[in-house]
Amino acid sequence: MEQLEGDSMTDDQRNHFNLEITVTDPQKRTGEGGTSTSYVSYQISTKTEDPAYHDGKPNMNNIIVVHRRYSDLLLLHDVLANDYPTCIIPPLPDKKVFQYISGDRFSQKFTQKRSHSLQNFLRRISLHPTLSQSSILKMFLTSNDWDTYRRSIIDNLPSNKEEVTDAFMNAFKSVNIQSDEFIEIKERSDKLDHTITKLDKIFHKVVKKNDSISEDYVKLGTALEELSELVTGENDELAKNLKTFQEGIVQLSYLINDLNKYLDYDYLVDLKDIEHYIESMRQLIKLKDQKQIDYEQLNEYLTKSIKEKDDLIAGYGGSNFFTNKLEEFAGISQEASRRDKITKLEERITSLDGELENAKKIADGFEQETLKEIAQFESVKAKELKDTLDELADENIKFYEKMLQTWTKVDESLV
Amino acid sequence: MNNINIFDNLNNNNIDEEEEEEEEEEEDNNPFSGTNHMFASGMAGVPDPDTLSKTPDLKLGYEYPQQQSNGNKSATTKNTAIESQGEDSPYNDGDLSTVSSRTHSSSNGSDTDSQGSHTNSNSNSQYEPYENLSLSVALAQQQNQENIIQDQKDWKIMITESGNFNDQWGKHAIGYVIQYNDKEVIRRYSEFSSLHDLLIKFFPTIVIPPIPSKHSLMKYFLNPINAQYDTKVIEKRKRKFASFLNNCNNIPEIKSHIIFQNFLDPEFAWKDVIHSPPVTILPQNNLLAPPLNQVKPSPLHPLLPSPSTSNSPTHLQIMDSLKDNNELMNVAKEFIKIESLLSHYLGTLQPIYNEVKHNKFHLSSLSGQFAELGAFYNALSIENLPFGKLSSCIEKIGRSYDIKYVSMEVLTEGIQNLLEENIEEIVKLLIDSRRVIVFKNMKLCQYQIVKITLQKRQNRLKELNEFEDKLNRLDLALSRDASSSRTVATVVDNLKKKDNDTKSNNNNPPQNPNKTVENNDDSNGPDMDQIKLEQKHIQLQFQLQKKRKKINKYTSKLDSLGPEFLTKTERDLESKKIAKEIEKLNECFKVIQRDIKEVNLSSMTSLANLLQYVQKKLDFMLHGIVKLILNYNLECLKAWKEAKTLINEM
Repeated sequence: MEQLEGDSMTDDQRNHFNLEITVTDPQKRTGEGGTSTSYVSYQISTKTEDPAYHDGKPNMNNIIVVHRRYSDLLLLHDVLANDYPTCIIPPLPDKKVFQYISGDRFSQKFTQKRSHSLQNFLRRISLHPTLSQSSILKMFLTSNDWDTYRRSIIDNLPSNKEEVTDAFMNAFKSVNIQSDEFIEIKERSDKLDHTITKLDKIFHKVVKKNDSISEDYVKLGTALEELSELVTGENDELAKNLKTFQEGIVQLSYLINDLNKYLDYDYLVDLKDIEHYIESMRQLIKLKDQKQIDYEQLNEYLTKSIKEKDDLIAGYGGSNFFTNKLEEFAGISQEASRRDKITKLEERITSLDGELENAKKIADGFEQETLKEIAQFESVKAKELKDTLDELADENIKFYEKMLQTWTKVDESLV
Repeated sequence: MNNINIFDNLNNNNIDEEEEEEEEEEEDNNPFSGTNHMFASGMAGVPDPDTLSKTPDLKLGYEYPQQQSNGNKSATTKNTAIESQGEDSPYNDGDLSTVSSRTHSSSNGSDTDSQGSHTNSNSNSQYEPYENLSLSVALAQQQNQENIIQDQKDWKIMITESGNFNDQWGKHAIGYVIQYNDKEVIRRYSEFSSLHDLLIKFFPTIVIPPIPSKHSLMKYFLNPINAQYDTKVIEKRKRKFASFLNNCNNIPEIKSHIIFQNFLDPEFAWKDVIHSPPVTILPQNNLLAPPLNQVKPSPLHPLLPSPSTSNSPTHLQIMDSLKDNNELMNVAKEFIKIESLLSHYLGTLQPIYNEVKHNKFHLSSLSGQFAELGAFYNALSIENLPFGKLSSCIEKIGRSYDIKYVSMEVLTEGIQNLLEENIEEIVKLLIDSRRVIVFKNMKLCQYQIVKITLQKRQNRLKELNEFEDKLNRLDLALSRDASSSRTVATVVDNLKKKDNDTKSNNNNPPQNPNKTVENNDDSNGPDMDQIKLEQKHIQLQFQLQKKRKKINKYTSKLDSLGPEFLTKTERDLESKKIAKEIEKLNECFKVIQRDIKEVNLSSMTSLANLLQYVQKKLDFMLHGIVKLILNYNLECLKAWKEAKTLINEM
């Protein structure tokens, strides 16, 4: 692991210009050029000291602001996925077809959550040593001509259909020799995924519970107000205390709502994004396995061919008695055909040798890249976990500090 | 003795009476210490060590089948309690330390006993690294406890223990040990319940503190065997019974009442109490007995009318009927004010009660989710062990959630004890206040009926007397004129004759004409004139009766008729009767007037006290709950700040 951390250190040094990306202010827009379709546009601001981003006219705060929509980010994702097959491309939030149907996709809750998730996506890219250097990212983050750019490439994007069928064909094959390292990685990611999913589920419940609790307090507040009015004139001291307490309860309900909003809009999105990120990593491992399977199959084929050749040279085996007889009847000289076969096999073996070497190189290279990617993933994940926990702690501290403040005040004003 | 109150376990372990002396010397003679048994903490809730030092001279606490003065076993238990209370130090070693600390925290009413063990077991089994956790909780509980102590510091009656016991027939029940004035007595739920019912019968003018309600049928349905032994329910009942007894004790009338005193007295078996006077001589109808002393004999009270409770008068009717009595009117106005105030309280507190209950359920399920979060963050921390610092950060977050969970449990428990139970009590009190108000109104109704009847009788008498006067004046005028006019003289003569006839008929009711004739035969002999006159008189009577019928076909009573339709005899009879009635009515009126005064005073005092109690309780709850919330926030904030510091170090 230390080695991994070391790796990320050198990465940092390689591109010492940080990209600080925030996605905010989701806005509903009506489609340009008379089309009636609406979409949501997100404001993406990048803060960096990289002169390449500023195009010779650096602005005061080194901040560049552009507006993009979900499909723009999708394009960015797809292009990166095509350009860097060995990288873990951070996942995008789901398309959420259901929200499209119900028309909910313009709701504040939905767009807020999505903008947070998109920000996670861009930040992950910016943290990646290779992806962050890609020119399309720079284009995406800075260019005013993005729209035209997008239109020109969107139609010519190579389809990755082939890959899909390929992957499907080999879906039931698994790697023969899995290195311990990958077994461990898999196990770890499974566990992590399981835990994060569980946390995600419980936090969903917590958010729901908090909602109903906040509602309880609104109702309780109203009832207390009535009680306070009732007592007024009868026992003014108590009435005042009730009023103070009621204000505290109302405040409590607001504070719970605030905390809940953070949990719902930010923390839950972060958790979900980590789940997706783990999934992306698994996809990469699958791809790596694919390459290995390719190599293993070639290897198998080669061994078979060599064995066949050896058998032929030894003068037996290979083909069975019946084929031999048939060939005899057909007037094919057994000896001639044997020689012919051996030559063919030799040719095949040579070509296979080359290919095998090639496949081995690819598989090994892929494995190396994958390991690097996974190290990268681990460091991003660790950073994200740290950041989200930091935020979680901050929000909770904020909540309890305000609570404490509110209730200390209530306590003090009680007579 | 009808009741045999033996704590099963006590019986098993301390059979020999002699043993008890030796056991006093031992430090740890509690057979249950270190176990999960509820006696493990000793006899918790001993209020004052000073009073306890006298325990050897104590009268018995429990009643035994052999003889009632066998108090040794209770004394044993008490001694255990003193030791665990007074000498904390010997307990501070080994596994007993938790027990003693628990005894300590539960020394007042043992409220949090069940909770303490709950969190303890949690921190012990599940969260081994969190020893501090249980400590901080114990602290929070102590602070929590202080609030409750404030409310209970003037409590003189304690429910110190509860547990299984067998009665004479070997029937199992849960008994509650009541400690009062150095005496201990075990009563069971049904006995509390019957005391409560009796108090309601004895004190129609006083709002009676509530007792916990019966187990819901649902609970029996879900868990038919264990429902009544559910420790949480028993703990709750202990608190509520203690509150009930102390609230009763704060009402002078109840405190001094023989029934209440007998309930607290181990000399009395409750079965005997409820099958002997004064319980057995309670009147059927509480309106027909002295209101403040239902069993005091009073010859006049049974004579009072008993209006049906179903048509209790409304405020308007009451005000209307009291128009002529300024004093009562003013009192009634005051009652109306306080009544509407109380009913408004009920109206607002009932929804608050429901909200609080609701909220409690939500909070406790939320705290369960916090516990889960704590566990999963721990798992996440272990998975991230290779990342060193990150792992410990995650662990801290998990710990924060653990603390959140525990503090939330404390808060929930506090809400339950402080808000839910108190509001429930208030609501029950307010509902019971209606009974007092209805009784007062029924008494007013009685008063009204007596008053109106008296007035009617007096008016009638006046009417009859005036008519008599008028006749006398007429007589006088006639006899005066008779001297100057012959015609008038003849008329007077005839009238006199008639009068004589009627007089001779005095003894005979005119209803039977034949009999009258016979009577005349006997006394005056056969005289044609007499007979004629007699017949005339009878005719007159028939005429009167005809007229009467014309006036009112439905009335056969004479006293509802105008005096001009009555004969002289009837008038006389009625006058006499009415005079007698008025005499009785006057007495009754005096009685009911006194009753009303007493009822008004007593009810008003009780209602005013209730109002004050409600306000005091509300204020107390507010202060308490704010402290609880503050505590909860402090605990959580501390935990999160710790987590934050660690994260910052990364």
